[in-house]
Amino acid sequence: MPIEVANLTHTYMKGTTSEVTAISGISFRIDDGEFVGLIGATGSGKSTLIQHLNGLLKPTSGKVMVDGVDIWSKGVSLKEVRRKIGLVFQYPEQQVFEETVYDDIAFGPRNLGYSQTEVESQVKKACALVGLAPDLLSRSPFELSGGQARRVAIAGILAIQPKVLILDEPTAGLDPRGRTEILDNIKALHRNGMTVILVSHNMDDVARLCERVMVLDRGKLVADGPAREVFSRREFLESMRLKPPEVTILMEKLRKRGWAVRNDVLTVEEAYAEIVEELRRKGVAGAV
Amino acid sequence: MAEVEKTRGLEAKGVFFRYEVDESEKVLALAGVDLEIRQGEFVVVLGPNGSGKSTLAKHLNALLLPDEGDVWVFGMNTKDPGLTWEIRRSAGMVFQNPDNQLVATVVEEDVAFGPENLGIEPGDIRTLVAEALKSVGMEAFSRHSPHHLSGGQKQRVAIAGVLAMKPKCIILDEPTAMLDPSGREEVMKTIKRLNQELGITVIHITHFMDEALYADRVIVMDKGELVMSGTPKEVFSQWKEISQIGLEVPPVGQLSRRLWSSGANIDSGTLTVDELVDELCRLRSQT
Repeated sequence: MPIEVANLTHTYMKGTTSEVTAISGISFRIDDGEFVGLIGATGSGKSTLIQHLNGLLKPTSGKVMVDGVDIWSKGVSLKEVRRKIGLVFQYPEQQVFEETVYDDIAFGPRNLGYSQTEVESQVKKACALVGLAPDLLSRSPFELSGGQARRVAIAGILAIQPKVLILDEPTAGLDPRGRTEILDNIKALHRNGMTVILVSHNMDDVARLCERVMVLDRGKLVADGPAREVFSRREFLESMRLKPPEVTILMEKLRKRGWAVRNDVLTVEEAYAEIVEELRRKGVAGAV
Repeated sequence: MAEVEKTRGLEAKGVFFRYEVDESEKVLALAGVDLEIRQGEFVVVLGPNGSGKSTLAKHLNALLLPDEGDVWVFGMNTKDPGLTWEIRRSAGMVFQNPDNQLVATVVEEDVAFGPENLGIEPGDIRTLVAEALKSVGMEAFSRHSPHHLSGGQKQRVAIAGVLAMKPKCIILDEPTAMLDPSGREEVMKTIKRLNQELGITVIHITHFMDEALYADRVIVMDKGELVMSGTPKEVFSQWKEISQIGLEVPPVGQLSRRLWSSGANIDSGTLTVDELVDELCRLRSQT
């Protein structure tokens, strides 16, 4: 179920004196099973863009096509589009309103008219996918920790069995352990075939998980390529108020000092391997 | 006596605090915290969600009062109701979401909000506001609407709002959580400068481990207790304890430790990119 965006432009309050073009002329295609990171400074248009992908916003011009069909053409059910493309908003725990965790996760499937037994089975499956213990289901969502609340919100979307999962800053405000748990959940979902689009300010998270990275700057798609390629362009990213991961910057600085190491390293493990190899080549004693 | 009072910073002694969940249930948020922060110190507070960081911060400007124990802010006991406003003026707070903190439609009016509430003369307010905006590098935006600023700029305006009250201390509760990478750096550099140039005591709460590197001292909270205190290097060298608590050594620190433990003769506690580059180049030239 590929998503194709063609020449997409969105202008808020079109035709008034306060009209603002949030995104313009954006085109790309995302295929099944991809893991895409979407990065960009605050106000670059990320939220506007993702709300087009499941039909929450209507393009001012251009097209959004899901499975080859323009989602705004006649006869297309937007409800069905929103079921297939699940969107988890920023700070979703602030939108929790049901009395129990169960009811909160069941909201989506109930809304879609699933039977009682189907709802129950979807809630259970969704909980298993994000590692929520079943005994939490009877609790009030307000008693949960930050990481648990975030997982409940993701489970609520998974319960409607989307094919594509879009997450807007899923780890913002979480402590390192909560962050790692959520990212591990997302990684596992992707491994099982889910297409994932991750919007994040955390470059380390994006570098660690995403195969492909898209960069938005003032409403334009200014880069779209393999994570390695995008993150090795430090000056370009900095001009966009972004930053490569620390270990990537480290490698670049070592290269400037004459080291024969790769400049497209994304994780601590990769940096370690590159440094050890260079030290061995140079015959540095003690470097195993 | 007066001399001694002047040099006192922020102190907590044997502080216990319980939150009421409902009539029958209370949760222990602070379990006997002892802490002393010197005037002019830059302290970063780390700890998992629910470890008591924010509860502690709110005790340091009398937003919360201890159930047991005492908190003194520059020699003033927070339990003395007559001192509450003076305590809040001298130890101002900045919160996570900039949009919830900015109230006015023009930046300078927002910054003037605090001094106006203190009943300061309009002429003096203008001077205070101008100085405060200058200190955070936002003087060019004084007539702008806060709503059109970036996240980092909004937080700098929120900081200016606190500065306009001429505080001795600023307490920041996850001010960078919602910002993009440059916004985060903007805010961190701003508070570092306020600390170094104006001598303002800074208490900065964060989940970003790399922000701890700006601190003179890092303190770590876990389950309502203060479990570690030391320089960033000292704290992150206890990597086992750090990970047991659910925190993380910053990436460069992880890399240094791995290289060191596989036999590379470098300082295992190296935490910044530039230091590690120097360490590695030194090692590589030893052939």
